Amino acid sequence: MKRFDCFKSLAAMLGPDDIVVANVGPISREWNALRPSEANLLQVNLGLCAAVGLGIAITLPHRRVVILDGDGNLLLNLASLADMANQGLKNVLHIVLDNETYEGGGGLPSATAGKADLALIAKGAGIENARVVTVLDDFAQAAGDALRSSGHRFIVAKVDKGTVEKLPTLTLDGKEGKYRFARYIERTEGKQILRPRYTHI
Amino acid sequence: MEIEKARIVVDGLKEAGINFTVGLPDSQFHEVYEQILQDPSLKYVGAGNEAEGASIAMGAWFGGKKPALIIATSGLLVATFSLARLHLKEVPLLVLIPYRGDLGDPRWMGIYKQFVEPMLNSMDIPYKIVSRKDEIKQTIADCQICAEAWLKPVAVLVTGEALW
Repeated sequence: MKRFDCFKSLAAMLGPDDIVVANVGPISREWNALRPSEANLLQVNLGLCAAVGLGIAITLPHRRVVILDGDGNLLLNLASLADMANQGLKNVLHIVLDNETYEGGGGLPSATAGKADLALIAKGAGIENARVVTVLDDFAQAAGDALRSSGHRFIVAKVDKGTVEKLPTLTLDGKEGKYRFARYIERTEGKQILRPRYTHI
Repeated sequence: MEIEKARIVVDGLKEAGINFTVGLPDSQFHEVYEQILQDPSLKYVGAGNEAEGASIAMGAWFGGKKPALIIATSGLLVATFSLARLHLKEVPLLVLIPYRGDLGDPRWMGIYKQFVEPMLNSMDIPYKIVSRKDEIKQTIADCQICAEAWLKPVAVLVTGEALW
């Protein structure tokens, strides 16, 4: 199963208001190519993706938050699974694109290439709706089921190593991505996030 | 720690506009955490480690909250990577720490003082050390205003001298 095909399937199912928090590297590049949107917070760094998604999901409980995570990314901060489970979230679809590899770091295997099973770990952390999918039809069904219901769903999508050729360059850097996403939330939620206090300059 | 001093810290957070707190408890601030947990206006989210806590706080800021990360001095070291990312992206965050290794510390942990302040300096994270009870509220308020205006993490280190 190719990650890009999973993303094609997922992008067709999301609405324009669905917030997506995506892991740094090929996950963000592929997702941006398929679903460019101000509702994407891209290039979230190793170990932080689920936690940032958690903070957004708690504070905007009426918005759906889709987290596009990587196996290496999540393995760096497994505690986030337990902390997410304890929040009783109703608005989160957490997808781990598990290629069993630190692809961005040169391709050495991650722990999921060995004995680690992230869906089992998630269940152990308290996330009841956790499953593994290995073929595209199952991914589409699992994601569709999750998006049609409220709750906290966790899907481990076993994907091939490698990315697609000739992906558009992701010209957005972390800082611009922050401003773009914060302005988007300000506009859609009617809140002032950036510099909310009066200053004389 | 006296309940009255814990109340000052919690009131200081509220008066500074903080409405979302993330933490991993430290014994020096036990009474502070207890009071925060009982106050829904400070919505507390527990984190399994301090790096995750800083990232939860970043997400909450994107959602329109004014977050504070409340962690131990040792936890600041765990949070370093996340704080560096917040710093690079220019995201405001009040970091509140019961400071070990200074006057009033019930056990000498001077090693923390040897690396915490140089580390904050090298990360370009501004900080204020509070050693008097009557400076707690104003320092929290001032640091939160600066964090919002500068779009960066700002730390408040409260010594045992102010707390005990």
